[in-house]
Amino acid sequence: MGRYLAGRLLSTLIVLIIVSFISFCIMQMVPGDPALVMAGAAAPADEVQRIREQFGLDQPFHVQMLRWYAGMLQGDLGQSITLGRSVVTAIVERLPSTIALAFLSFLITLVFGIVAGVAAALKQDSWIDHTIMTVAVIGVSVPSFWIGLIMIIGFAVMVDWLPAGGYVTIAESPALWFKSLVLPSIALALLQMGLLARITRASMIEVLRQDFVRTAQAKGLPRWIVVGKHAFMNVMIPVVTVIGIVFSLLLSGSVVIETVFSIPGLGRLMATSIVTRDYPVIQGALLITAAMFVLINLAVDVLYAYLDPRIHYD
Amino acid sequence: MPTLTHAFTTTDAPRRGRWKNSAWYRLLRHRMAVIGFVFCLAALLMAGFADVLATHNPERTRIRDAFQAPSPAHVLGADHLGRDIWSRVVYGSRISIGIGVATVVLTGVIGAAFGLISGYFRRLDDPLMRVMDALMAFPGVMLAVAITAALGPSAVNVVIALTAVYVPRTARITRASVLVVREMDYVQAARALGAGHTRMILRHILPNSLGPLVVQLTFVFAYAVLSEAALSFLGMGPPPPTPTWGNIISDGRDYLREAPWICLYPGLAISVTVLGLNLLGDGLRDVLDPRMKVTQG
Amino acid sequence: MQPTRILAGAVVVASLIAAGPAAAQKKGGDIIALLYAGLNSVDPHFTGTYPARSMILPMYESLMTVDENGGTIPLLAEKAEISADGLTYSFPLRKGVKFHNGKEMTSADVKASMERYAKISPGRAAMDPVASFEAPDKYTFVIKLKTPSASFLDRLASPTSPATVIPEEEAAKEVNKTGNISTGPFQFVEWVPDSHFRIKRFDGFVKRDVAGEKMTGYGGPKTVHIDTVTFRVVTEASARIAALEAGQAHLVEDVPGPAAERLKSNPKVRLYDMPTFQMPVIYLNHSLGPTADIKVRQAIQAAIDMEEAMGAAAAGAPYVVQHAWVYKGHAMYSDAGKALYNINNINKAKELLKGSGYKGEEIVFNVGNLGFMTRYSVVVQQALKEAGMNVKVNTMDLGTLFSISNKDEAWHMTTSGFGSQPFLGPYMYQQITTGPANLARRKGDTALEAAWAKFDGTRDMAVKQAAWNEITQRTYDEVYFVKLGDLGMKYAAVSNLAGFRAYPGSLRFWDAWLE
Repeated sequence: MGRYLAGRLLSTLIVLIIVSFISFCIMQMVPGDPALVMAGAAAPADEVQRIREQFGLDQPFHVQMLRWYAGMLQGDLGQSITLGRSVVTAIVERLPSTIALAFLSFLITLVFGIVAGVAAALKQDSWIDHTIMTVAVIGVSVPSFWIGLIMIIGFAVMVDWLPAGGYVTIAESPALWFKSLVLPSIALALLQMGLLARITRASMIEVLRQDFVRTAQAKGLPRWIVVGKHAFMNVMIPVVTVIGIVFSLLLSGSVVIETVFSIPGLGRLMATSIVTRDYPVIQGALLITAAMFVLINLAVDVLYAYLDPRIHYD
Repeated sequence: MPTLTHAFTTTDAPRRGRWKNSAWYRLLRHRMAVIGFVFCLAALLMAGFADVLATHNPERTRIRDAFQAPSPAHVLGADHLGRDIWSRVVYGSRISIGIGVATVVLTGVIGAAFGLISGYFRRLDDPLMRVMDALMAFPGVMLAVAITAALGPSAVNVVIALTAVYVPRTARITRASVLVVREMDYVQAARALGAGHTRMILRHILPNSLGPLVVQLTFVFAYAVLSEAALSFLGMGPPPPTPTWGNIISDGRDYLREAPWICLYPGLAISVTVLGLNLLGDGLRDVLDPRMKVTQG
Repeated sequence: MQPTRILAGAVVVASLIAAGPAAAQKKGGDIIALLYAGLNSVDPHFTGTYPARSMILPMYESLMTVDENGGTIPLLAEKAEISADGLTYSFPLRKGVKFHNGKEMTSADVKASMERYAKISPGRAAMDPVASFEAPDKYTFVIKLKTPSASFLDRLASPTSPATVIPEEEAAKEVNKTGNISTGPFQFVEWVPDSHFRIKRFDGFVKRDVAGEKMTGYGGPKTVHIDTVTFRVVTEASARIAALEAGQAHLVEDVPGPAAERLKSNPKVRLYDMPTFQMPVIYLNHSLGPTADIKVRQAIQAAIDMEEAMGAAAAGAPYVVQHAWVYKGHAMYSDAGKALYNINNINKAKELLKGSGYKGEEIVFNVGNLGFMTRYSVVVQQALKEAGMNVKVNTMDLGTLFSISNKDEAWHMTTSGFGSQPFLGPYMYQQITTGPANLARRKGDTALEAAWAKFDGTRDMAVKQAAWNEITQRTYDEVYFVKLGDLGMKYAAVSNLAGFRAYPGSLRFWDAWLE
């Protein structure tokens, strides 16, 4: 186990180094002079030069790269071109709304995804199963931003239940804060819900087929105990492994959903930064989300190792 | 080392014999797959015969017709510039599906190559897979957005960006099946008989790893259509007035309530196409690769 | 020093002022305004956009400012005195004006502010003629010029990138490091980028109190009735409207035409029209490729149907198809250029192309990703294609768009919109049509330069008018820009918001109240 952990940590570290390198390369991919592109319209020549020097764009590739890594180790991802603050500050400012959105969305995903998946598995091949699975596959097929727009018409405009957009911080008003997150969370959760329902159903069916469940059933234990106690815990194992994926999908979706619902989060930061060519922010947002993903996966794998002793470590 | 791809990739048993005929047969018996196939075919035909199906020039503006509701003159209505929505959706399928196909081909070739190399030449496995892990660590749309932001918005750059997103996932899946196939008796036998690397890979390993690859690429197609729409919506796709499904939705978002038809139909087109691809992919997986449970995003 | 001209406060009360019942004004209340775009900086000297003005100008004041019609009036200065030789500008300051931090504003603060402005502001070119800033005593500020400039005072007053006054110690700070302190009727509360910007009433505000002056533009005696204003950035128009209808906002900007049409019948909502928000234009690059050829430029001018292009730009918003660089009703409005506007003749364009050296080379048309620009670009592109031009459209964000159009290379046509120029008046066009920063990338147009020299060198309105007609005609003859028309904007507000007046400068929430 210790050796497994050490190996896992080492490979995580290597992946993080590569992740950081890829993020660094984004600015290198900009055709022409990135300093000029970033400085923008009214910028005088000395402003362009200042940006060029700040990011070392006049330096050779390896020097720029060393600066990037050196900065990163000190928690410095550079200065935003347009926001008047450091990249780290800009990201930290926007994390709360994205985390709130992701959390609520994740909660919806977990509850509905697992319940739907388990229900479909228990009633395998019944109309319930078919309906749930049809809805699930539709859920993974519909663009989330489009569903978001449709929901704005439905819930915000026609029946006027929920705000159509904008974000209220929890400090301002917890009730409004919650209301402002309902529609975007549902729009965002749809895809993951479909995915999770499908995974849960598949693993549940597999578990139900296994000997220990059959034995328990043969022993005459009530079905809910069999399902609840034996099967469900085993279903949780594959479910835990998708947490990382779900998280990654949530962040992907947040780019468009936060735009549609005008939520000042990480996704919208990304969407506005591409418009303003604020490459340092784009790089920073990429790096931080990917790093979170890698670390969540590390945690999941370790958790997984404890949950499932059958795992073979190589 | 267990990673989270573990749950999604094949750890499958060998498939034997002349599976091909029976696979086709089983696919045709798979009701959902047939429905999916019909949807996909419809989308492909739409793209192929866009010039026949369209009733108007998709880029021709006519301010007089702006915001016209669906009517015989404009069957799906007109947008804010008086352009015909049906014609734009029909022509939009060319771009959206074209980007999907190009992404699938590029991802298929590069992803399969990496997967084969990684699975076959074990020494290259670790470094290659770490790079793939790193690429997969980025939320897909975010990476695609960042790449198109750097390269500039265009159809070609969207394909490049989406390929970068889906190659690692495809490479992983190919690699997993290569790892199984290379241990199979007849492959070992071929090697013992002194077959060269190229011959080994192309004649023995690749054909036997195709099943999961085909399934994966069907899903890549679906994701590519969805992601292209998202990128276009954010203004990072092929620039307007080019009709793409994402562009049409983006055009209509200011008029959601008064002219919902602008957003509604391109969204339906995306949903039906992606649904078709997903159903087809599910069917293919059931037929070709029954142990592979669920794909990844 | 002999003052020859004294510019006092606005004597003419703008006819736009709605006569509200004076007794009904109610104190208190919080207003939420939804904007279509946010701001990237709250630095008082580093901003230059319309949304930034809405959020910043309630807090910051300047020596001079503009009235309801864009005319120059004093604000923190009691008046402006200009010496006979036109080289010395003397500003007696209003006494007892308090900054938000409680300190009294003096000439030292003004001097430090102007020096900072001249160093870092995007509008610093306005200070190019300045020889020195001086503070001879506590309440007098003096600017000495190197050469006389008839439009110097107008530039100093321009709210585009306002030359705001901040405390001396604040002026020592770098860009974006200042603490949002000035003398305005509102003071800063908080800014959460991309989310909201909040200001509250400044109870220590010392309002301008000169007999005969009324609230006009950014000047006059301003009174704040409401407690706070929260500006929220909601980029989606549908979401803005829905929030207003649901009672979650008091005022929204940029209401799309179809939504405005629907809201007309809603008794809880009141619509405001601003018919003169901006002029959509296309820049043509005079120093590169096909558009360096006058015939090609004329062909572009001739090909476009301005009704169609403006209809597209407006998408239901109000618009006017009109040729002049000022709005109808402006003192300098004339028929100059009219004959070359909205020719709308594809055959004429084809003919002009035939007579040119154009051989189907690619014409690069850079289009900004702002709604009205992408919309009209579609119509323009279509017309040019029909005329036989090989147009390549590149869509990009505004930052990139304007940084490219600032150079001679890599573009032939660029979408744009004149917002402050037509509002503030002819002098605003000088820097963009002559000199090294002219937007057409034209090298040495002596005829135009001579006309501008005539314009800037006189205070005789008849001579000025003649010079301006010459300038307008020249820009049309040489096709500096292709003007499409005048584009308006619609606001919608809850019907109990009283005293709000649409203004091309920005949103204003002083002298407005909730009933």
